[in-house]
Amino acid sequence: MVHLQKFHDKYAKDGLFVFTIAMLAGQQKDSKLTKDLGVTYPVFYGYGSDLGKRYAYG
Amino acid sequence: MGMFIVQRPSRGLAARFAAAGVTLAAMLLGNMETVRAEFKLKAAVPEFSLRTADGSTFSVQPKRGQVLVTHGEKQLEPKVLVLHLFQPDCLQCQAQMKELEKVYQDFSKDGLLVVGIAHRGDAEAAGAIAKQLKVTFPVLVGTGSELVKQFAAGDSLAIADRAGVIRFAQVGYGAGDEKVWREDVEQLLAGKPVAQDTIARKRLQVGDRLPVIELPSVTTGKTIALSGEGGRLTFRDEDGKVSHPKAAVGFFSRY
Repeated sequence: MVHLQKFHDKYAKDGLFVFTIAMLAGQQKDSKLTKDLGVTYPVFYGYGSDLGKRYAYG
Repeated sequence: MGMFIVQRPSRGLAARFAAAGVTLAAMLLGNMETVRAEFKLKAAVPEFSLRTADGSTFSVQPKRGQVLVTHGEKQLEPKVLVLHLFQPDCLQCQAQMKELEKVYQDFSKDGLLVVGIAHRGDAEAAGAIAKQLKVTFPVLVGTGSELVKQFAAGDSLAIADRAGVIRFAQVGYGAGDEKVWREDVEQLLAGKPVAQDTIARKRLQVGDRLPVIELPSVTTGKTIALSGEGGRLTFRDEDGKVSHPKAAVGFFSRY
């Protein structure tokens, strides 16, 4: 996420959209994922979602 | 974790990536698609030698119709062998290890051997998680090994019969998967074919359209959405403001 943040910082102005989908229970207000890491791009909370069940593994 | 990169035709942005960032973009796609194999059904379990988290030697050799396992001074001929490639700091993997321990407890007396192989982290990390989860099956340190380079396409699991032939393989873990492992282990212990040879999960492929992602924001709790419908990327933020990015990079995080 830290590396993606650098990507976001560099290319967002050119039209790149960086995002993460958090897949662990209890991360819906997890400051480690945002404030602590300095992440300013959108982080979706995907735990329990159909999207996560379909595509998130490994 | 799966990472995906989505791009709509845009010569200007593509040119910028070509100048500065396209190598990374290509590398990330490469990681997602091709770099590492997964356990293959009907293939022999790989031959390997590694150290356990507590430093003892451990090797697996498929030989003449019987997989041979050497753990320190002990030689084992398991009737069923489960290999689990995991990351010590991945909570999903830890949930999987807890379930594997239950299966191991129930069937080890009948000839089941479960082996955990950390494909990230060192012996200390692998040992610490085994201790924390009270895992009693062998936990190996595979980080950087040829085995991991070849087979760790993320967290994965294989179940092999006594001849060392892989009869079940899956990547990732979902609650309830253990019912399938349990049934397959029972079948193999009885010398019968497995009931199910994998638990299929969809994989985003190059060329797929980005699925609609409409979920709460971790930052605000309000719903945000990203989609690739209508031939272009559309992002709607917490306040309903819509934008159309030229490209998107994202991944599922389990940390």
